[in-house]
Amino acid sequence: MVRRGLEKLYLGIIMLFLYAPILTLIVFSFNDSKSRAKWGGFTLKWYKTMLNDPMISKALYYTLSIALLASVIATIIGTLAAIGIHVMKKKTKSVILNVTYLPVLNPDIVTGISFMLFFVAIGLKLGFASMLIAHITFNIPYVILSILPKLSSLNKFTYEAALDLGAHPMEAIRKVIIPEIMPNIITGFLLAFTLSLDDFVISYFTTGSGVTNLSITIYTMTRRGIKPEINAISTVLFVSVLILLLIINKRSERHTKKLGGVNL
Amino acid sequence: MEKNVIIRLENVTKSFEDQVVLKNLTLDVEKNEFLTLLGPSGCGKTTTLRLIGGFEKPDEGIIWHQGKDISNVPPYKRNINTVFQKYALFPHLNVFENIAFGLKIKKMSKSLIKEKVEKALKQVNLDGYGNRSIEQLSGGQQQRVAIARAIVNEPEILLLDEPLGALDLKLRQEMQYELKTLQKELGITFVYVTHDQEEALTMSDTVVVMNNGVIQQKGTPEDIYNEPVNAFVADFIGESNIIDGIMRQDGVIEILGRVYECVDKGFGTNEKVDVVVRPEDIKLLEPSENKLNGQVTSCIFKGVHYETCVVTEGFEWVIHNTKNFKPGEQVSINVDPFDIHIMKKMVEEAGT
Amino acid sequence: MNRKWLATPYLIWMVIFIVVPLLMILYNAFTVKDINGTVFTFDHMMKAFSGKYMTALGKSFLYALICTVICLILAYPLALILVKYSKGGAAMLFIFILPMWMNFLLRTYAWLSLLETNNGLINTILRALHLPVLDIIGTPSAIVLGMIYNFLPFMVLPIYNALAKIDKSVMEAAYDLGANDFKRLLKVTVPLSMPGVMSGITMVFMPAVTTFVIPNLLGSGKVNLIGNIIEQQFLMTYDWGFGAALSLVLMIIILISMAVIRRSDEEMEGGAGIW
Repeated sequence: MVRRGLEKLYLGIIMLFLYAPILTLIVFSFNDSKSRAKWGGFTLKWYKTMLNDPMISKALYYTLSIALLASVIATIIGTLAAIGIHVMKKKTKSVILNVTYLPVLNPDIVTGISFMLFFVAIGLKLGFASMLIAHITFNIPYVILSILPKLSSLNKFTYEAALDLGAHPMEAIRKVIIPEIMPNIITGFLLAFTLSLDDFVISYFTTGSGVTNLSITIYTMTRRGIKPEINAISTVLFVSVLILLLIINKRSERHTKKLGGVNL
Repeated sequence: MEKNVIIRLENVTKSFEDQVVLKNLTLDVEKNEFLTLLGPSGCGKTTTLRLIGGFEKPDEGIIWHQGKDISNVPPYKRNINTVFQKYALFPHLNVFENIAFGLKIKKMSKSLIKEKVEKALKQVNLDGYGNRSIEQLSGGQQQRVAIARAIVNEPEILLLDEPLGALDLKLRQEMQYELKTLQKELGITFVYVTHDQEEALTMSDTVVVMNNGVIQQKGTPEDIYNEPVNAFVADFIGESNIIDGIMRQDGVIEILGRVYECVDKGFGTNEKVDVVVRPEDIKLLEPSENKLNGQVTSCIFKGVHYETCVVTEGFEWVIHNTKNFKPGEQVSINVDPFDIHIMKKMVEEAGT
Repeated sequence: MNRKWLATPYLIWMVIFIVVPLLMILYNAFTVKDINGTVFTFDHMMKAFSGKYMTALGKSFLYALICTVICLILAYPLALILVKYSKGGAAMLFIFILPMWMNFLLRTYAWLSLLETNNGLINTILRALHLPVLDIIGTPSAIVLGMIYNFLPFMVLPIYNALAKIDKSVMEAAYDLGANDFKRLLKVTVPLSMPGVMSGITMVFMPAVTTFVIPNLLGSGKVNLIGNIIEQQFLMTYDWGFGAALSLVLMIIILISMAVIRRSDEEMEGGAGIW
């Protein structure tokens, strides 16, 4: 049918639009010439350069450590927060949620600037600590956002049932609520981790003293001009993200099948 | 406090966000009885249950448990267990683990837990279901697991919050019977909440009818059914015809201008009262001078009986009998004096 | 023990690290240091509202608007098609969403590499075909193109979700009542997908207005949007008061538009239409 053909064509065009730039980067990361257009033979030398570049290793180290630390801390604070916020009165809840989502809704440049002004005002030198604090702060809302809806859909009496059966409040939370929301806690954690890995603007304004992350390094490199190592970095990042997403997808599929229901 | 009373709510008042739900409520629950709190939605029965369980604290008043004031004691410290309305089973645990939950908290040995859980499963007729996961169970089975989870802890009192609401009719009737038997077997006190008056009459030793946070009547099922103290109780329990009347003197009641003989005494002369007659107590006969006469407006077959409607001078009577009347037929209302119940007129309640 | 106290560590964090920094913007926007110490001033705000900067703000809004409209036009049919063929699971959707998770800088850099006037792939091909060269790096066109490329998946996802949620029986009812394909699209599908469209517009327009990476990379520093100007105040001219004032203006405009858009949306707790 003509209709189907047109639809497939449209899908194809958009797919081309979305992937052409990325694929070009990947292909040319193996190009044995600095040209962005002419093929000069297959090589892995840009990957070698990338791996040997101290700037890149440093950036990678900071990116991973900040992302890991920030997402773990944000998950802990955020989970406790979600459980607490869930039982608050409507008015209080509403106010707190509105403030919580400010970093999400605000343009990141404004959030980044607000952090910078704050750190300078309290005399904290910009560096690892400031960047970490900033990351934790913008991660927490996403953790809360992942968990809160699930808390609403839980049977509100399972917590009371646990108390009824003799469990103290902390015991009840540990044994009943946490297991039920665990999938959401993990999703929140992964979401926070991914956001931290990828962050640029907020990190840009809250770091200093030689602390950097991958995105900032790439930005500085691209401002200086096109370099083939960037292609190599792109390929590595692209493949990593692909694998990460596939894992997340498989987890959520398996989990959905287990519950016998539809997700999304 | 009397030796036989296991729970006493004394002058308990409870409000939620400016809404008074219970006002000065006083209620005694006796040991080993099956007591049901009955009433429409919002009457305060569930709140009363939750106060006994410890999930709410009274704003005023005291809750006594055999002489001890437990008003401020949290649920996990009371020797009382609850069967929740929607079962509230733990979805991440299987049947065995659900039932064992309370025992694990008490740090019992594994073998002792196994013994008790299996005994509880037998008691609720779910022998062998220990390994099943909760999603695989039907509503009725989940219900039994919830009961087993509660009774395995050997509480002194079992609270049940409308546990049979989600089941279909046949299953509900089966479970009613099973619960009653279980209570006798365990020999403990059951406090049961429901809005279904048939259920209350079937299972209870004592029925407490509530409305708007106030106890309307407390008594045995027979008392409540046969001698309702006011129009609300009469209307809520079973079907009834409630009509205004004037008590001419002891034993004589005037309804819509006609005089009927009755057996109630102790009302003032010419006092305005509420008159209750059950549909199954009315006999429809040929029109007669000194009885209320009217016309049949409908007669519907209901299986067990016919439901016949008769209109006399503006009042619509509902009658249950086994005769098929035709709409338009002229009949008279006849009632045995013993079956006419007189009640004082209801005063407006506080908080209505 | 009431569970609500579990949120206390977070509440303290929230006040210190969300509320106070925003107050700092306010503080910096309305004060200036002079010989007498720190004084209150309207100067920064006045400057922010002056012609030059309002023009930049206007330009930012304009480009963001163009980008949003084009994204909407491209994304809606795409979402419709994806929903139609979504029986193979969300695999198809996954393919179109994947680029969204790629590093945003690299995606922008990718276009820089492709569009380069002298050595970019596109122009090399065009030259080989004796076609005119595309000299758009450094112009608004490149920036808008970069925006569309970066933000398209953010428009597709919420619209897809909203369309997928529409009950099939509602669609069938429309047929049953005599609507043809086009009418049904217009009168049933589009209105029901509105929450998703609103989400998508929000997720595209806001970042588009405030980005400074895209103009910096694809505009070669020749095009100044509001994001760039703010960045420059803080990292180049060190006029923090003015920068704060501009940020404040931007923040207020954006928060107001978000509030207006979200008024018709469901409560945040139930999900924001993206997840």
